[in-house]
Amino acid sequence: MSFPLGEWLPVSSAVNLLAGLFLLSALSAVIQRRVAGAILGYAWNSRALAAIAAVVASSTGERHIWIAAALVLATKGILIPRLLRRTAVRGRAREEAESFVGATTAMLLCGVLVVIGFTQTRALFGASRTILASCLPISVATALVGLFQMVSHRAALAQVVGLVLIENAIFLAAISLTYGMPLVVEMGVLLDVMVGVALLGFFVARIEESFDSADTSLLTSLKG
Amino acid sequence: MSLALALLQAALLVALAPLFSGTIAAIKARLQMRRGAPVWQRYADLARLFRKESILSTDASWLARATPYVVLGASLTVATWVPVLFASSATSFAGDLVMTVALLALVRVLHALAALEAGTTFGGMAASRHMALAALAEPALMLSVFTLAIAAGSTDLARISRAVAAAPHGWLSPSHLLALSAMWLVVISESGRVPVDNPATHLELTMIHEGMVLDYSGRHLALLEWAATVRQMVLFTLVVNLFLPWGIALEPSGAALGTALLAWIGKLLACAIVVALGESLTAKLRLFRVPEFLGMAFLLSLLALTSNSLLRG
Repeated sequence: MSFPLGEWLPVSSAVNLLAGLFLLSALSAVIQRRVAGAILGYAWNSRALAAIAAVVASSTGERHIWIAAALVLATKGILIPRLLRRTAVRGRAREEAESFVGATTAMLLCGVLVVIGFTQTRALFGASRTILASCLPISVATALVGLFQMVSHRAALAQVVGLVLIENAIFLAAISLTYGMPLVVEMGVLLDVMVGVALLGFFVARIEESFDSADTSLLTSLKG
Repeated sequence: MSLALALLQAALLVALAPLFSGTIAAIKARLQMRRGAPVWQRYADLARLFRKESILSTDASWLARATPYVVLGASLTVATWVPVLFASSATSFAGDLVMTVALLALVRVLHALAALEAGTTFGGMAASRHMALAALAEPALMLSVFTLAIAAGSTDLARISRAVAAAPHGWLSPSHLLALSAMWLVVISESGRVPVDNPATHLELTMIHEGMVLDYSGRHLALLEWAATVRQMVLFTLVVNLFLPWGIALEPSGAALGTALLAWIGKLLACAIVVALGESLTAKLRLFRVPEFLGMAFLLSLLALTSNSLLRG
């Protein structure tokens, strides 16, 4: 099976562009003030990931990567954002996702994290020569950005978005290092993520119910 | 021959600039289910203003009188070396990227000084806002084009355009995408569009460009408005011909130039549609949120520059 656009669009360039889109959408998710915006950023992040997987599948001709790409699109691109959005609409989380740091500081810190991700990946793994050369640094940078989203936000749902961003980054790293894991592993991981997000959405609803707020910094008062 | 071509390109930019503004306004009107003014409305506005008398405050000095001419002059100068149809310029000895940014800065400083001239409150407020935002937008503009300049090995705009057009898939890279996004945000801010400034309002406390030209009338106002549309046209042409230089002529032959003209107009039309859509879908940002918007542009351009050097396998 050959890549239909291969005539005018070399595979590595397509992957590079999509990897750029992956990083851009992750950054936009972190910088959003509203949870709904962060969820939209995550949805685009997942769609870029599915597209990268599809390009890899068509260039290697492996059927199981095609299936993985389709599954990523269906679960992470459509289903999980819908679950998160439903939780956001139901609760009070539609209000602004308060952050511990200001938006400008957050942006600068994210920039620093991305640069750290790029340089350290290079230092650890060296410059790679495959078509997925830009994917590994970008996945490390995105994982750091997702981690930053988790620690910097107060709202529980925004932290969940950070978690699923990290998961996306790990999936991208797996693709770029091994050209995809066995299908069983990938299906298991996707199922885990689905169940995880559903449970976390449930937890967020419970936190809101008990505390009248999804602000996780208030949870420390339980320690008494 | 090539000098004539450079002048022709500048003439095209200057002559079509009001049309570009008018097109954006017309598309926006259609999106809002209004019939709106025709696309050539801006020309009629300029013609009307040129016929009217220009009145200046008695307190205004020679600076207020000179500003419209210098501003238009600077904008026309920039227009001469911007690659429009042909990716090589006979006037590139006169200016490059740095000179372009410097002339745009000159325009801004003059605008701000002239706004303070008459001593009105609106002018002073608009001038301080304008300078504050410009200080944030300028580095992002420089850095995002520098990303391309490094790859091209030159800050000459025409040569950057040629280098990007010659590398067939060079534009497909994370750094290019990041730089393009940064450039787009800066251009939206610099040309005074929603969500930074609203070109359609007047006498509102949030205005920036309109506030600065509030004290001008007649001929002077026409010159300033025309210069503003030329600057907007130059910035959008830079976006399409530096970042997406498809169809730009690499040889000065008739057929190539014809294709380049069609490609340029098509790309600008696409830009107009995107801008009109963006203006219809987003609300103007609160002024204190605008630094975040421009901070995003700066972050993206910085990342573009670093990923350009770090990701090149």
